[in-house]
Amino acid sequence: MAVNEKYKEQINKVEFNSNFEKKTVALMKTQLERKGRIINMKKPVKIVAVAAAITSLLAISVFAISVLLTPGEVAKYFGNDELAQAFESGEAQVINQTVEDSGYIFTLEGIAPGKALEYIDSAAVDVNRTYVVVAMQKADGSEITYDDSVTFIPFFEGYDPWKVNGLHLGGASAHKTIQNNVLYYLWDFTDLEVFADRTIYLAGFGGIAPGPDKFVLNADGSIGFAEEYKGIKVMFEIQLDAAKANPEKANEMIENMGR
Amino acid sequence: MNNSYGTDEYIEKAVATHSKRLLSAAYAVLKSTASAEDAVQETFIKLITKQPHFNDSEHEKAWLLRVTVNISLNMLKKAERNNPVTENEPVYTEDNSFQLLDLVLTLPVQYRTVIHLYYYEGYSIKEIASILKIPSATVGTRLARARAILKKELEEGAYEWL
Repeated sequence: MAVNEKYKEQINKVEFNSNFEKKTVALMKTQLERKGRIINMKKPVKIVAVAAAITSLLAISVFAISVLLTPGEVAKYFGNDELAQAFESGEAQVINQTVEDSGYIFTLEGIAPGKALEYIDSAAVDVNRTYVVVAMQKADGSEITYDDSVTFIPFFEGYDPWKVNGLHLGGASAHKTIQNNVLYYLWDFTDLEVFADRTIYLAGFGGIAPGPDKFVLNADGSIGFAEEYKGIKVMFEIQLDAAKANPEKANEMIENMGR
Repeated sequence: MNNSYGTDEYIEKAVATHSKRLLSAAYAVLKSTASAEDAVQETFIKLITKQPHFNDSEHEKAWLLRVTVNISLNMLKKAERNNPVTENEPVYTEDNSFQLLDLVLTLPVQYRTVIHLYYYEGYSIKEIASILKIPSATVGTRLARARAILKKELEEGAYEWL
């Protein structure tokens, strides 16, 4: 007998679960429904930027707001149980840093570099993305709506923010929901961990484009808001594990930007 | 090729058409039916979440096989990190006689993957190289080495080698 026929004959005798196809079809349909729900909530943002410079300042205060949903609960709300589990188990970082500006309180709730979640081995978590949960509410407790939304973009110490940023490096998308008068965002950006050997900023601002009218690169490599920019100013600093930095990969990403 | 990913008809047809071959490929890598089922389910989930564009049914089949093999190899790496096992250790024997499949499953994973795609799926060396994203010469070398091992272990004249 030919070897291919014998091999086929033998491997075809291996018995798998008789309900495999039925269970798989049901699983796919559930996943598709979940995906449809998320797509409907997604507000994808892609932009192109220009150039220039100047400086800014902002106030950062850190205090706890107990009424917020946890990052795990936010991820779960958007149907990403695996990400939720990562936040609950401590595999992802829970941060809870708060900035108050322009009558709003912003809370960076947590961050999950996809690479750290590689063990999850699920289509719901892309190891090449970084997930960030941010909450936003009115400081005076008045009603918040989707019209109050701001854009969040990661910047990297030493790079012009309008040239090299998280939007240009692989785009960004956000799921948004308002729960109990708090606007929650689940952002996903490119893999930020490769830049972990430098300060990574998460800037929140009005509008879409992070142009030089809004941001500056200071002489020491730090990034701030432009003096003439009068809109919402939020600047978080994200601390990731510097040992996970990959400058070679970061350079490659920058070189391939826009291709 | 028109892929109506969102329809029940597409899902049911994709699963019915490809399950057997994907399970076999995953089993050849993972040597476990339960793990193979997990890998193939993950592949189908990727199919509907990524929604790739396929030129024809052969393109779809090759994509599914590549994803299945990659997922299976990742699962194997993770399993070995958590619980290292010695490669080449026989894990599947029915009656202590070394059948062809038993022997294939004792091969290093790179060899048995190529053997499976060559003998089960009937792909050429070039097509396997394209699916696995490795050079054709590497596929040829793995195939030759795998065959040499199998020939040495199997009774002379037991099979007709292609």
